[in-house]
Amino acid sequence: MWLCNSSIGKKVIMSVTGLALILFLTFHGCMNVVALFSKEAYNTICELLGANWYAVAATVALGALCALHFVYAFILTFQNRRARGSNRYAVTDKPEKVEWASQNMLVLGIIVLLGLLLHLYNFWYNMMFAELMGWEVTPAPADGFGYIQQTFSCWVYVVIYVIWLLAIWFHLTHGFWSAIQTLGWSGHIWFKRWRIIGITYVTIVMLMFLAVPVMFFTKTAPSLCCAQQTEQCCGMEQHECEKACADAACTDEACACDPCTCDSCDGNCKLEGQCECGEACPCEGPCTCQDKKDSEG
Amino acid sequence: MAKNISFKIRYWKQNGPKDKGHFDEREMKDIPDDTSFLEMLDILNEQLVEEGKEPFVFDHDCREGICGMCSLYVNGTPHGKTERGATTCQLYMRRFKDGETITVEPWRSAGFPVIKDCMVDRGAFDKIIQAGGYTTVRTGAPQDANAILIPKQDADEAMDCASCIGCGACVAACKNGSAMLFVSSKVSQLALLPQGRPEAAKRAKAMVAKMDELGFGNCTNTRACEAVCPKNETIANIARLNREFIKAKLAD
Repeated sequence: MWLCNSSIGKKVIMSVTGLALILFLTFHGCMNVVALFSKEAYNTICELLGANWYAVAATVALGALCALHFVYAFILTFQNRRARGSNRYAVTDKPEKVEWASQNMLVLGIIVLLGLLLHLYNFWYNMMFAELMGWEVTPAPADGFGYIQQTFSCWVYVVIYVIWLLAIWFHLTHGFWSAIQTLGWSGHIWFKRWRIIGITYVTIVMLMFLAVPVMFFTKTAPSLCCAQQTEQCCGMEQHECEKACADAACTDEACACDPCTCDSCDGNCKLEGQCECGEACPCEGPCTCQDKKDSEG
Repeated sequence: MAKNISFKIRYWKQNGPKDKGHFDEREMKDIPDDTSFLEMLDILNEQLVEEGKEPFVFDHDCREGICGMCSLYVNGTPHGKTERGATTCQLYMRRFKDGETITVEPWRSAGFPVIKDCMVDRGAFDKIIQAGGYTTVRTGAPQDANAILIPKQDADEAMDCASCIGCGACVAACKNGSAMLFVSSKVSQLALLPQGRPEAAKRAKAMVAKMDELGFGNCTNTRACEAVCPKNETIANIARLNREFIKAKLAD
């Protein structure tokens, strides 16, 4: 079979699986963007792609694509290292036009793979896999939104995901045009076009991905407001919701401090940094009604 | 005005493919900067012979930049930093600075075993050509000049591909030891012309099979080859080879 035996055949496998994975990333990125705007809509998608037979079948197919891409990457790299020979150059001067990513595709791929394992653990394992196994998990398997909130409230995950996305971006800036070149659909003119199309396309897709961890960590995602204020403002227009959120002084951010202790002020420090009775408020910022509720409780 | 430069040269010594090899060093004094790189090596060898030492072995033939025999990896670049489109023999000492250290290495690739010092065996390229880099021509009465119409643009492009001299700089520069730029140029020069079309599918398959068999690596489109090619071959040829090969295999 020429796909497995010849050098060009093996690269055709790499490019076809690679392009299919780019297509998958596009769908995945579009779904992520939904989470920025609506919790309900996002969780509906999560439910749709839960442990249903079509979603499971697609996941298996996707896993096979990834496996093929990784296995052939290692086979090709192993052959290439052997072809290079055991003697290395003492001095090398890399030409300017050689892209850094193009010479480090395997390293970038390994970073992408490690990130992927973490990502599967963060989300897929708790969502589709837990549902398949019938495990009890919190948040519920179909509450993808809850998992996003949970994961990206931790800065370590945000940093790891940003590095991961950067590695994917580098990998794809080369991978996109390289895949098409391998399929033979390139030439003097189309090479330049594919490069620009590829870089633009993967930049857009990667920005869609980047928006989720960044906007959830900084709590600037429009959907977050609604998530906190479900009863108050869901169904409102976006700007109405934002206004309602701003008006209601209480946010979910628990002010983790002991409220005022003096009797007169009822555990309520209205003024910034000062209890009503005049003592310094133990809270750093102005207390929220959450603290008041806590103290009442 | 020519001026003289002095520099240190580090050149690779290796007795055959199995030998480990090492660098020898020598201070070169007052070399006129309009000396070509190979002439400078001739001066080095004269000094070595006078001292009763073994001369440094390197490949060269026409010294006009058209035969493709010279093959030195100078300061980390195949053929050295010449003006684009030149081989080692067209590299002049004026490209170097006074007091510089110049490192000379052979093409390093499993496909090109070292014969001695910086002379490598590029017979693998001949084997690839023998596998299909030709057209089967029935000779007979001379044809009319315009019996087969060929657009000027196609003829020019085929000529550009045919200008590949098979020096092997592409393999030397490639981190994968891939010979795709050479093979694709040799497939393209015939695939672009009507005379080459009847055997195009067979040719692409046979030459790629031979290239793989001889242990050259797989192209990953780093474009290091076209950056160093003395004849300015481009990876558009590689795309064409991929196209020819895939088409041929799908038609099987």
